[in-house]
Amino acid sequence: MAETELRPGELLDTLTTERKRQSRIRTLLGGGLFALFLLFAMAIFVQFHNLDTQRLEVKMNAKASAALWPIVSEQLDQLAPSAIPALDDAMVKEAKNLLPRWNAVLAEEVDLFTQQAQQVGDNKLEEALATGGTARGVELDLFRSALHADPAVSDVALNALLERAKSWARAEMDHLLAESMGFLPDFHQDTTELAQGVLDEKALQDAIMMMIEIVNSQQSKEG
Amino acid sequence: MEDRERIADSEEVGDPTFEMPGTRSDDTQPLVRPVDLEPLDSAVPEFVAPPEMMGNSPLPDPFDDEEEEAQEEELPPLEAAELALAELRAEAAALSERLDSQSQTLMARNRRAVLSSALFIILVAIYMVWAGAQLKVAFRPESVADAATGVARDAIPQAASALHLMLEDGAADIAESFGEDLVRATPGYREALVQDLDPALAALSAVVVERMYKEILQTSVADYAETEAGPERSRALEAMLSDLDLRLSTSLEDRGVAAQVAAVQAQPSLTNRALRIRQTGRQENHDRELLLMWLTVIAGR
Repeated sequence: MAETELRPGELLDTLTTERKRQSRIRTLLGGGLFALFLLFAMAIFVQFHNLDTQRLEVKMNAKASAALWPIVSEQLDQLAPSAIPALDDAMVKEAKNLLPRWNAVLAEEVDLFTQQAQQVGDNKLEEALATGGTARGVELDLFRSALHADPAVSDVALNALLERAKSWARAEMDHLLAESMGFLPDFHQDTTELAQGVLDEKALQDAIMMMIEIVNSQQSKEG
Repeated sequence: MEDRERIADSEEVGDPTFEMPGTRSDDTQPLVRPVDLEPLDSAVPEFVAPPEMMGNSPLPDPFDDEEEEAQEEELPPLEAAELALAELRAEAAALSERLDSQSQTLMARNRRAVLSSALFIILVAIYMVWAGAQLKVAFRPESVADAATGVARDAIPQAASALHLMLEDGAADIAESFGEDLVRATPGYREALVQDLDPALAALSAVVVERMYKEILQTSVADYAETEAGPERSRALEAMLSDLDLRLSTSLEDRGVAAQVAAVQAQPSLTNRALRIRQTGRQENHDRELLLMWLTVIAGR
């Protein structure tokens, strides 16, 4: 055997080393692939996480307005002439059963609304009076002193003035918000006449608009 | 092995120079010779091979194992050691050759594995970088919006035709369920109206009370302060109250206060929307709006 040749022991060491290297290569390959997939998954997650939703919303709205709404509008125009009469007919038929039942419910709600609105108005006025009285406390004391030398007499006069002004204030509040506070009672009047058959179909169509608004607002509120 | 061959050769030719062990003068001659070794052609009893030795070989092997062992046993220790060493070296050489071959194969395989693994990882990495770049483009808001718009654009005609069928065929059912929804929604709507008025009432009461205190403090008190008890004081009080009423009745006509009141009246949005709907009613050209309202109600179920 030549001296340059390796001995079996050395060759065995070489073989063992190569086998370890082979195992290391397999481990590194698996680990490398796993790391790559992990990196890729993280990159996708980051893309999702960093998605600019506000900008997306703006872009979606812009695209919808520019590209979709004309198509939707065209489709609605095609749909409305056949769908609305069908719905109107169905609602007219349904109104015969619905109006008496709903009118009874509405009557109760109108009473409750009036009571609650009055109560809220009274409470708000009392709060405002208390706040205003505190803010103008010094001026009111001076005014009271100026009313009469006798404090009892001046209190009587001041209380009379306050009561008169308070009545005015409450009446003014009701007057200024009369339209808003009178909406539900007025609408109940309309539905009562509809239920009694006094109003025509046009009035029913107007009332249906309001009915849709009531349902719609509650659905929006419930989310 | 060489010794064995030499011995055999000498036996075959009947070497006359052959000497018995211990008497020879040449040490290069074979050390072992059977005592009764004669030339093969001499008149010695013929060797009869046992049947088991008569396989493929026509002649019996003169050096069968037993004889070999016997001869080896008879070899001097140095020769035996040399023989064993030679055999060991041969085996070691064969083993080394085999191990070397395996090592070379494994090394070559590992080199190929390193190259192919590196190549594979590079390919996968390139693919992932490419896919990542595509995803980055796809995740841009513009791209998402484009994709969504495209899908929606294609779906709108189909949705419209499905909606058309649903509204026409299901109008009676829609109306019936709408009635149920209306009855159920009315108490909530009343509560919403009260809540809608709450901030307006608060703001309005603040404005009104401010004017109220201002007018009270501007009331002239001279007449009342100088009067004595009795009817005269009552008249003075009534005069003071009448004066207050008069001033209060015009106190909200001030431009600043009027603007405040107008702002307060515009606050209840739900109520104002309902007032507007009730006021305008259903217009001839409101079919699309009405349809949208219906669709909103249907979609909200």
